[in-house]
Amino acid sequence: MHRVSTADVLQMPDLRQLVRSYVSNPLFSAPNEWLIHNNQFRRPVRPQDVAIMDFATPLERDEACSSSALTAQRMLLNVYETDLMFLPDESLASNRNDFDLFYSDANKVIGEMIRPALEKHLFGFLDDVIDVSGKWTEEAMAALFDARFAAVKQEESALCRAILSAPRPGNAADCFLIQVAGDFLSEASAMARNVLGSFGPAQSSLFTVLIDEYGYGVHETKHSTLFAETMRSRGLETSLHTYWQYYLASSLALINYFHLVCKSHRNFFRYVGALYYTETTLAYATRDQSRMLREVFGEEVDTTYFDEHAHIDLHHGEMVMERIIRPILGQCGVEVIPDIIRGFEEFRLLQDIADQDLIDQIAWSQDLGAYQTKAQEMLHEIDDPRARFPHATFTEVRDELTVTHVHDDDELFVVEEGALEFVANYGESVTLQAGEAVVIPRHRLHGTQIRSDTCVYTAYAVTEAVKC
Amino acid sequence: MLVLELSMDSENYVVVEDEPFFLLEVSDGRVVVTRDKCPHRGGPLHLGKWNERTSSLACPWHGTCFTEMALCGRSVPSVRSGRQVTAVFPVSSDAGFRRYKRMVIANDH
Repeated sequence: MHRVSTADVLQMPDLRQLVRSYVSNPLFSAPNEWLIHNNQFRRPVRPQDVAIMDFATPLERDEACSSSALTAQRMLLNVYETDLMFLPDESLASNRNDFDLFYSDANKVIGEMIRPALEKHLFGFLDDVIDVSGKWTEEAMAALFDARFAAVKQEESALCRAILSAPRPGNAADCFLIQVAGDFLSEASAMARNVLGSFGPAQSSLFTVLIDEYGYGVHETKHSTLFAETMRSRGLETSLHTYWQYYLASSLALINYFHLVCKSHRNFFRYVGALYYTETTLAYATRDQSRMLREVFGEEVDTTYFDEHAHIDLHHGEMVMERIIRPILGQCGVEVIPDIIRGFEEFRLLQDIADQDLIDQIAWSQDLGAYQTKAQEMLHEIDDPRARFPHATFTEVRDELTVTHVHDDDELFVVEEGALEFVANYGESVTLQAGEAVVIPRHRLHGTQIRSDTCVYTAYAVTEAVKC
Repeated sequence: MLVLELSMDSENYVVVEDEPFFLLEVSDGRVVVTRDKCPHRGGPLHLGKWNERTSSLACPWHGTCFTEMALCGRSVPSVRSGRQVTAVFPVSSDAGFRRYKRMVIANDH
């Protein structure tokens, strides 16, 4: 058997060159503001970073929120979504060039060439972290799933709890909505890849789940339309990827995972397992999220999307088991159970990582004052940080925007001259003047925009000092 | 069916209704939850030696060898996520069980 995979081929020297070609598309360069209005095709990825990243090597689990992960997740979503149809909510005239660039053959073809390597880079760790062993029966599989759901039912959502106890719960809740918007505003697009073909009764049931998500062709009841109403009720924009720069790597991973298992049909059974996990747990998760939103915002927030899911996903969960999984087992045999369980467990793990990532981002971004104090203490204690820590100094001009990113080290960020806006989350920013500083923990998303004619700042990699 | 969560670091051995099982690390970092009693004369397989070359486990009593495939066949269905293993035992959900941390020589490889 030929053992060289497509990913192996694309790990060869020209992967770096292919990635560089891919990100040279103007759609992926820095914009001049934080939000991207009415243009789903502009998706900044910081092309300057890719030269120093090694996308040929799979990341470890604890690198799922790393700098390389964020860049690769952004690229991979861009690759996958060229298969989907997007139009701006308003006029296309001003975005026609971007529309053509996004759907161009060059963007499509180079994207497909780097896709297998990006998939392995981002999701290869799942092969090491999760394995399924032993002889599985339908009964054993059902017992495992029941045990998992019993635990979910009993657990209070750690994410909802973190939002409710945040210093500014309203802003934390908006940040939650923004993290899920990338998925919910184009909901179920990935699964549409799996409804074509010919594979027996399960196909028709899968199609029913899909058309439920799409509101049976009635636009007002399409789930993404319901979610847009939630966003609107919070004064948030509803155009897909307006908040692109605020997406965490782990949130992008949830969207990309479904594309991963739907794009390649050899992953079909993993997809079915992941679908079962998400349909069933979402019923409980959306119930908690609806309560959380109402507790934070009162009656003004529109929670129809969440309430609808709390109801319909219980039904979908049963449907996935009775009308998709069981018929598939009848057709293909119990040999596919390990793949179904693998998909179930993989998505469960990715969801846990995403929840914790957002909890950490909210905690840091809503406590910037403490991290500014910590930075001043470090500057006071360390005589000559330039001699002690690796560092880089940058000079930028007014309005220059550094696209949001993360670092793999804890960083001491010091403004030497001028002033800049330091953004740590949607609605969470501080203006830092000359002499002011902040500590940025590893893997925390941030960006800057210059607010003086020129600004000089230095970033020190201080992981060791922070550990002490 | 009884579903048990086992931590590889603290609970690598479990007795379910008097039948002992242990967590065995086989090739590629995979873990199986396999029966401890050798079918020959009941020897404790968790104290057996793993042969890296043949990917097999020898019973400490009489040297009966079990290939990885045979050991998987003697295992209950399980899934590992990181260092947590969830295993499904073919007994009633209210069956008695005890979990232990034991020296498992079979994993010294």
